[in-house]
Formats: sequence, C-alpha cells, structure tokens
Amino acid sequence: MKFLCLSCDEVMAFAERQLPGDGTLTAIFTCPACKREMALLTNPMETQLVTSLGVEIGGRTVPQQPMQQTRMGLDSPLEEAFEAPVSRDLGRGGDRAPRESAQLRSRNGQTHLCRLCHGARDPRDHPRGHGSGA
Amino acid sequence: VDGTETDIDGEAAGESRKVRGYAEVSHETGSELLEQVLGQRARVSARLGTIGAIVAIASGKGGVGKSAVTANLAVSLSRRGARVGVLDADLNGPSLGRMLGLLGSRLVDGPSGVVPPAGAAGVLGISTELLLREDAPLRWKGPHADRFVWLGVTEAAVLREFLSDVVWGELDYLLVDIPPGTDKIGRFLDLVPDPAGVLVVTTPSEVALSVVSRSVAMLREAGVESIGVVGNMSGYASPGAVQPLPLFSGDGIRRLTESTGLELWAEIPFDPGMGARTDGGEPPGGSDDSLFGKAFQALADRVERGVGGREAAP
Repeated sequence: MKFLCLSCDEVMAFAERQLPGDGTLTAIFTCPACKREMALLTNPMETQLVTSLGVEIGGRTVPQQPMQQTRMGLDSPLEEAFEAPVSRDLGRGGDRAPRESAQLRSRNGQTHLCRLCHGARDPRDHPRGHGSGA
Repeated sequence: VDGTETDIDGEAAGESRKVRGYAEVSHETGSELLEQVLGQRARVSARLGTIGAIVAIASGKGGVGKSAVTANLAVSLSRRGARVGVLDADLNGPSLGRMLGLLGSRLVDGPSGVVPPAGAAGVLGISTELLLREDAPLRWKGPHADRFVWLGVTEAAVLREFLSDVVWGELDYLLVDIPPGTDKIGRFLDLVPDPAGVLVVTTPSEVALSVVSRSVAMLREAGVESIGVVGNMSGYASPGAVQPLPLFSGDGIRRLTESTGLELWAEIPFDPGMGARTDGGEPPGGSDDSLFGKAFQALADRVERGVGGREAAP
C-alpha cells in the first residue's frame, strides 16, 4: 500500500503510527515535497488483517519473539507449552552451512523475492504459479 | 488498474488525468511493510537451509489417512538412520502430536528459535496439538465480525512460523502433513515452492479419486516434479494374513495412476492393530514383516530413491 500526493506526484512517507487501543489503527503519512499530511484509519478487522501478516506499519520497534504470532494469537493456549529459555539449541546443527539441495531451494526463493523487491511484475506471474500475496 | 498509468475521471465530462500506478513509484514509503514480508521469507529460506528434502504428504481429500501415513513413514525413515522432522500443517485438525507420542512434551525457547520435542523413533515434531489446551478448538484472537477476512492470513502466518521459527537443525527429511483442501496445498507451495517431493495419498474410493485428481492437477500446474501416489487402505490386513482382503469396492488407486500417469509408490493395507499403535503414539512403520510393515518398507525405499534426502547428505 502506497499513497501518492497527486499535487506533487510524490510518494507520501510514513510518519507516525497510533494505536488507540480499541482495535483500530491510525497511520500518518506526509508528502515529502509539500508536507501535506494524511491519516490512514483502519477498523478492527482491517487492523487484524495487517497484524495477521506479522508486520507493523512503520517497522518493528522490538525484535519479534520466535513463533510470536502463534503464541499471541491462540485463544486457548496450553499454558505449559513452552519451557523456560535455554542458552543453546541442543546441538542440532543450527549454525551449519546449508546443504546443496537447500542452497538450490534458497536460490529459487531468492529469485522469487527479487521480483517482489523490484516490483516490476506481479508476483503471481511466477511461471510455476506461486504467488506470495505480498 | 494494470499497474501502469491510471485514468482518473476529472470533474468535467470527458476529462481525465494520468496518475502513476503502484509499480511505477518507489517502494520506499517508510512503512517497511514489504521489507518485513521479505524478511519473513528470508527467515524461512535460512531455516530450511539445513534440511535435505522437504516432502509434503497431501491429498486434497479428508479421511484418507495422510497423518497416519506421515507418522509411519517418518518412523520408518528414522529407524533407517535418517534425521526426520514432521510438521503438522493441519492446524485445525491436528493429530501428529498424538501419533508421534509428543503429547505432554514441551517446546523449548532457544536463542535462535523454538526447539521441537522428539517423539517416536526420535522424530522431531511440531503441531498445534502441542500448543492447545486439551479439547480446545483452534480459535484465534481478533474481532469476531468478518473473521473470514483475516483467518486465512493468520493460519498462513502460523504455518510460516512453524517453518521459520522452529529449530529444525540438520535433517535428512522434513515431512509436512497437508490438511484436506486443494487450497491448503497451494498455501504450502507459497511458502515452499520447491519441495523435493509430494506424496499424494488416496484410497480405492471413487469419491477420493475425483478430489485427488484435482490436487494432482494443481501440483503439476505448480511445477512439482516428484509426485508419488500412495494407495492407503488398499485392502484389509488381518493379523498374520499373507494377502490383504478387499476393503473398498472401488478401483480408484489404479484409475488415478492410469489417468495421471503417476507412479504408485506404495499400497498400504488397513491393519487395525497397526492403526491402534499409531493412534497410541507408537507408529510401527516398517518395523516388521507384516503386510503393513512391508508396505512402509517399500514406501521408505521409494522415498529414499525418489526425493534423495539422505543421498543429499554431506
């Protein structure tokens, strides 16, 4: 989602996020040229949709906890599902170099991501049909 | 809107002006939404970098025994020395926590993610069954009105976290049990576009045939190259039987392989005793020379040859 200042033909820049606490969200954008401001207001359902994507408008202020959306989103969580943090990952090779098959998979994924980065085409144009919806 | 300049009607009839479209303007809005989404994808790729082969077990049809096939295949591969993880993508109807003997196990917060518990035959597993209170249905916090708008996005995010935030470590195989519905196959392929293989589970039932055929078509459209058919409940195996007895009147397994040209990787008979062991958290896999055991030995052989998880190991 982008906002274009029609007077200046400039992309408006994110300036501020406000969370009133009632499930709504306010995001303020400013035109870098004429300084005109506008506010994006979302209702609770729209706010939830953004939250479900695992993103925060304006960027994250604190790093996300592993499985944060799962933990925070469950309505009936098992309280004792997680043990206290440990200082290591039980030696399961998390720092090892990727294997060849994984590198190939990763390269294919990166190609897919680059298309998104450049925004030159719709991600759904992937020849194998994998749209990301991003 | 076609992504290029857009006509906007002016106030006076017949007037219009050109406005740059989405693809024509910079992504640098400062909202960092796309950057965050790309970061999520990058974390999935990084996490899966130490996995030899990701194998999906899918069908499109419910009730054909995907989860039981997944659990028994995982145990079979693990007993052969492979390092195996199982991801239960059936968020709303999870059963692999129970089948792999993981119930009561706890997830451990580590510095680089959540360490999954090990169950039957040392198979690692993650399932919403480990996260939910017993008998609680899967429900997500959020506004109740128009829940359908955000529910699918939320579940896709959870599946992404199961891939990216779980410390799978170095595995030969990660088996992913895909829930019923061809849309769920698509959701998985969005996250893992290039699985090493997909096992399509069906039964002799004619009803299953029509649904599973659609799933095969979807997988082929997505470019999945290695697809094997697993004919589950292909017969009834009573204890000590040499040959399985007919269980269904249909001939859907044979017709599926003929109509799709896919290879039948295994036919698995229904064995009540083996089923009970699987439900009890001790899937036997290919541990003995029963008809059921031989079927899983054959399937594990075929998976090792077909998707190369262990062969790819350094």
